[in-house]
Parts: sequence; structure tokens; C-alpha cells
Amino acid sequence: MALLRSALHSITAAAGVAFHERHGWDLVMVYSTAEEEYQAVTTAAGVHDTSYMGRLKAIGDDGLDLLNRLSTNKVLDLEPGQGAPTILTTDRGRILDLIGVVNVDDYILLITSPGAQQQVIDWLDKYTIMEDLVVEDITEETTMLSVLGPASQVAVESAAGILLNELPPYHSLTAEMAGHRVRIVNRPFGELPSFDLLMDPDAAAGVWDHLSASGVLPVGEEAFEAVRLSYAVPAYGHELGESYNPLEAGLIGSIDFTKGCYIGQEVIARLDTYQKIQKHLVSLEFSADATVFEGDTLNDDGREVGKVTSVTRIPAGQGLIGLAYVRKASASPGNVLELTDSSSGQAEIMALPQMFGPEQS
Amino acid sequence: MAITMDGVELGVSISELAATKIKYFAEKQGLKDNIGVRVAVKGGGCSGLTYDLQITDQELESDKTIEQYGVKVMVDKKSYIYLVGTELEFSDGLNGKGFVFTNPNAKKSCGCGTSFSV
Repeated sequence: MALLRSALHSITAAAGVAFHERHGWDLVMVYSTAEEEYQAVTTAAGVHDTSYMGRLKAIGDDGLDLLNRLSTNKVLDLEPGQGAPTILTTDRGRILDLIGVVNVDDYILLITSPGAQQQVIDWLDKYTIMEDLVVEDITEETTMLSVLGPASQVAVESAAGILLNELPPYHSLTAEMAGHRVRIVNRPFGELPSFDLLMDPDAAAGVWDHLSASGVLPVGEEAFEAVRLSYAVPAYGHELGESYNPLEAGLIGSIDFTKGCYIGQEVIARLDTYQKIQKHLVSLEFSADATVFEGDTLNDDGREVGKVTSVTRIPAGQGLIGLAYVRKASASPGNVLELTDSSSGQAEIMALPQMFGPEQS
Repeated sequence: MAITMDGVELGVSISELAATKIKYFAEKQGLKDNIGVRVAVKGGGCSGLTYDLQITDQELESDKTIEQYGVKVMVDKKSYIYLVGTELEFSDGLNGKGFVFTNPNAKKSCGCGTSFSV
């Protein structure tokens, strides 16, 4: 199957950068150097072409009502401009996908994991019985850029000539950027501030150039993956999927325990009440001598306690970091686990990440 | 499309107690004639699908309707396939659950019985 291409593909190809297949898209790995790009995102701001993420348009009066009945967070009362992260869960409380729900007035915008669009559409269709709701995949009809970094808000504000003030997470507004209409969604990347810019593909080149010209460095996949693991953001296919439930994945901040029933609610509520979580997502730092691959087993005192789900090298040469699921008894910050299989070395647990913070009060 | 068994069209039935309770709630809502209950299925609940009950005197053309104990049971057309053969009962008393569905199509139900999967 031909790889999908972002609206920026021809422009970046002309600049001579190398592409690589990821998520079924032909993506830029590095624009300048991975080191510079990682540095920009972690200390200032960078722009990453996230057009490969799924975007769905849910049209109809019952969109929020249905989503509220099928997912973990309270999305029923989202007014135009408001949004929230939520998790579609199976009747066993497992993760189908983590999605962003944004009420953009004319329709509900759903931001899905890369390649998860059809699965989300099929899931919503399956449970659309009497409801007024039609869901369309608009991924290829739109372009999405994410401006990430501690200075990302200032960068977006100056590029759009507006103030975002205290725009809450997942809330959105529209603005003009380089003469194009852009929807700005505040979608933090773990604890790293990040703003999605959604636009017509025709606007992509203008907005991209405008951001680059104002000093926001383009960031490729390699640096982006290092940022993801530095901020311990779980990804679909690695840490998110039907093998895990939202409590194990540290997503408790996107679960509303008081809103009432949704698919999987009974299982999730029980796991929480009786503290029955078997394993936790943890962030890891590997020892300098370590060789690590995804899927490697982690041992604690000679006993298997977990598996590595993501690993990458920080571009500035600061070593290997990763994410893993580790059995509850061994999942404590500071605990040092041993790598086995074809790998060697040690992995220290840094934290038990909670992408959306602790339980909602 | 009607689903039949031995030539008899299957639908949703109600118990006498459930009918009495429906009449009681309908009268509290100020309804006098043509009293009925619309039964539907919605996505949601712990197990995937959940029941929806509405007391009404407005029958829709698309409803599949039967009348029992003086109460019309109107089944939404799209929900019919999930509800064929279901009996609506009423669980009374201190620990009663109120209206209860006994649905032969449900393979699994949640703890409180208001949600099911097929």
C-alpha cells in the first residue's frame, strides 16, 4: 500500500531531508539534527507535523451523548470550544483508544491515535442505534501541526497574533495564522505544553514557513520519539491497546468516577476500589552499558516482572530511556531492574507517569 | 422485519405488575389515554448496550407495538432486533431493582442488570 503523505511532503522533500515509514505515513525523521530538535522542544519550542494522527468528524445531535456513554471521561456537557481527553474502553475495561474530544460547534472533532481511525469509527457505528450521528474520517483532508515545548504558548500566540490566556487543556479556538484560518487545540503532551494547529492542507505550507521564520524549529520523528519518552507519554501500539486498562496506563486523570455508566465502567470501578491493578506503566532510564529492545523482559531479583514497551536514545547522547509495564510490587521509583533476553544492563524506574495527572477531584 | 417463531411474531411483553407500574407513572405524568411505554436500546452501560424506557402516549409509525394489560409496549424499530422475546417485569420491595428486562438475546449482563451485550 502506498504510504500516506502530509501536505508538507513535497516542500520538505525539496529541502533534501530523509523520509521513513511510520504509522503508514512517509515521515521526516530529522530536519536539522536530532540533537538541536530535541533541545528546541525541551527548552523552547518546536513544530512537529502530526498530520499522521487520526482526525474524525462526528456530525449529529447525539455525538457527545454517545461518546459519554462509551468512554471514561465526562464529555456530555462540552460547550463549543471546549474539549476533553477520554478513553474508549471495551466491556472488559481495556483500552480501545485514547481520544481527544473537541466540540467545534458544527461538529465534534475526535483526535485519535495514528491509524486508529477506522477502529474508532467502527466502534462508534456499532453502538449507534437510534442516535443522530455520522462519523467521517477527515485525516487526509486536514493538516495538523503540533507546536511543542515550554515556550509553545508564546510561539503560537505570537504566530497567531492573539492571546490564548488560560485556555484549558483540550479547549480550542480559531485564529488567523499567515493569512489562513487555523483551529488551535491546547493538547498537552504529558507535562510538556503543546498546541495542535488544524488547518486546510492548502494552508500547511504557509503556516509551516511562518512558524519556522519566527524561530520555531521543525522537529522530526527521531527527536519527537525521544521527547515522548522523556515526558513518558504512552503511545498506541506500545503502551496503549487492548492488552491494558486505563488505570495500568496511568490515565486515571481522564476517568470520571461519578458520571455514571459507560462501557467497561464496572470493571474499571472495581479495579480502582479494590486496588486490583496488577501492573503499572513506568518510565525507565537504562544503564550506560545497556543494550535494549522493545519487548525485552525485565527481572527483579531474578524474577520476571515486566516488559519494555518503548526505548530510544536521547539525541544529546544522554543515554537510553524507555517505558515499560512492571508488576505492581516492583513498580517503585528508584527500583533497579535487570534486563534479560538478548539484552543486558539495568533499568532504573524513574516514575509512574500519569499523563493527565491524579484522579479528578 | 418481523421475527417469528412457529408463525407467531415475537415482540416484547410485559408482566402485569410492570403494566400496573407503567400506568401509575403515566398518571403521575398526567397521561390518561393511550398509555404506553417506548422501549429502546442505546449504546453504553457497562456491557455495551443499555435499555431506555420512556412513558408516552405518542405511538410512532415506525414502532412495533403490542398491547398487554391495558398498556401499549412500543418498540423502537432499530432496537427491535436486540429486544425480540424480551419480557419487561417489575422488581418490587426494599431491594427491588424497579423495571427489569429479561432478554434472551443478552449473552452477558452487568452487575446491576441494566446493561447487556449480544
